[in-house]
Amino acid sequence: MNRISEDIIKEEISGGSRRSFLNISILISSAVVLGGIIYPVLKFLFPTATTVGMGEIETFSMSINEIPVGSAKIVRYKNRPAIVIRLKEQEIYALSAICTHLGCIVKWQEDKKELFCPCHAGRFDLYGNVLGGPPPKPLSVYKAVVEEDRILIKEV
Amino acid sequence: MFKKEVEIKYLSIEDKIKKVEKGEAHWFFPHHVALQIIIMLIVMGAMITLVTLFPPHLGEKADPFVTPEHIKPEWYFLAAYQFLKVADIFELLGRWAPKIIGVAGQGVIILIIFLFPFFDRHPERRPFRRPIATLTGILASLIFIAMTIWGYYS
Amino acid sequence: MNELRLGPILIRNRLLIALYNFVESRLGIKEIFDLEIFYKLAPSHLGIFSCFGGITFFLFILQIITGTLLLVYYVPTTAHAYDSVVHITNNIPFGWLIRGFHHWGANLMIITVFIHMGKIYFHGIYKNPRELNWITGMVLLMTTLSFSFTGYLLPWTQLSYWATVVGTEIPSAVPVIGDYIKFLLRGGTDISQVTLTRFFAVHIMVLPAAIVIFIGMHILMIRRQGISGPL
Repeated sequence: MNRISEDIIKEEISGGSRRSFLNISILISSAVVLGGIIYPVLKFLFPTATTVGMGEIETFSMSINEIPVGSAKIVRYKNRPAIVIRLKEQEIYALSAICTHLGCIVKWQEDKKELFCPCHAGRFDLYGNVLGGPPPKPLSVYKAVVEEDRILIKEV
Repeated sequence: MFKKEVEIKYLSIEDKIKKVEKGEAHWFFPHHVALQIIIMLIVMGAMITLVTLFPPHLGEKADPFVTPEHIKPEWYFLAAYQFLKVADIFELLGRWAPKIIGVAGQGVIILIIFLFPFFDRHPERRPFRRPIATLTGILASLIFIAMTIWGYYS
Repeated sequence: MNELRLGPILIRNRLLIALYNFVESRLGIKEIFDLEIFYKLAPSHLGIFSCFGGITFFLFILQIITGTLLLVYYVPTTAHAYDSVVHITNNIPFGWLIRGFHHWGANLMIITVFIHMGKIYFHGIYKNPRELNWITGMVLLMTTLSFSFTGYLLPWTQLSYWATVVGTEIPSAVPVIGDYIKFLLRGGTDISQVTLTRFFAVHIMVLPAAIVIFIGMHILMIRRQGISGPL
């Protein structure tokens, strides 16, 4: 038992330099190939802007007539729901419509001038700030401008 | 036969060392494992080379209303495909014949290959000592290759 | 015990030794390690053509990995299958690589299977006592070809669509039951969403289960009988 171990240890570990060179070569090539496997696999699985269809449209535009004064509309901006509110004739607000609590879509409450999440009663103001309820973070706000008859929505 | 393999497996370590020293066998670890790793690295190298130099071609999107002019299966089905076309010569037996003979013929060939060990029962293994089996094998391989090439160019 | 010897490996790390002893005292792994790894003998007469069964197995492992990865983004619907493959190839990081590997792995696997089969044939390895393993090998060949046939439809290209139209037409030549087989394969009279869905299910679930079982039998038989001796 001891003899065999020692024999092989001698041969494999402290043995000829040719063999240890071979071992090191195999080790390095294997590490390179393994890294070459793991890195692409991780990158493949990890979502990026293009893979989730984000960042394709930089500026979203819609006709101002689609939203009557005082009301709001849910639109697709960067492939995710956004809410566009027309408070007054030329006063437009645009925010992410995804509640920061559990991802429900928020609603516009004209009488209170608030955004309301129907799932767990989270409340936000027109600047995205949390007024009440469980949401941990404010809604992200987009820049909305009116040019002639069109509403343009951009990243802030 | 399997008893011999099992006996070797349960030899004492000293006997195994003797076998290795006499050159009758290698150690599985690390000798054989190292060989396997080298082969795997070579295969990975071949794959990377093929993928980067010859990326797979993706044709047009399927259109059930337009049949392309040349429909061809993947290369490994070309021989079988060509065999079906060649079976057209049996048309003289009737209109039913080509398709059925073409398909049934291939079924029979596959069945024969499946059961081949039960037809060829002589224990001789060296290729030159069993010329009939060897020639049959070479002929079958050549026919397969020829049918594949024919199928590719027809 | 300050050191642990596993064949040629000498371990001095106390944590590793403690871990080994923990498992050893419960499962008796030393015997398995010695018999199956550290004091296992491998034949010394193997040539290059003896490697092709193993190479096929390695390629199959790669197919499982790349196939699972493709599954993450592939959409098995007639409307989106093609676009999702284009998306994988063009937009997903290293998507071209993963798809290329799956494509070339499939093709190389067929080549290595045929070489393996040729080696077994010309060296008479299928003979007594290995007849049963020849049969499992043939089942594996058929499974591999079925993998290719079902996988070929999935990108939903013109070629794959029409090759499947022709391919599923062939069984209809079988008398009496032929048309039923064709109908079953297609899940209807034409190649449609139903066909794509069932080819997808067969390709990613049914065939992998079947091939794993038969590869297991194939390898267990080899382990039981040993590699065939030199000619």
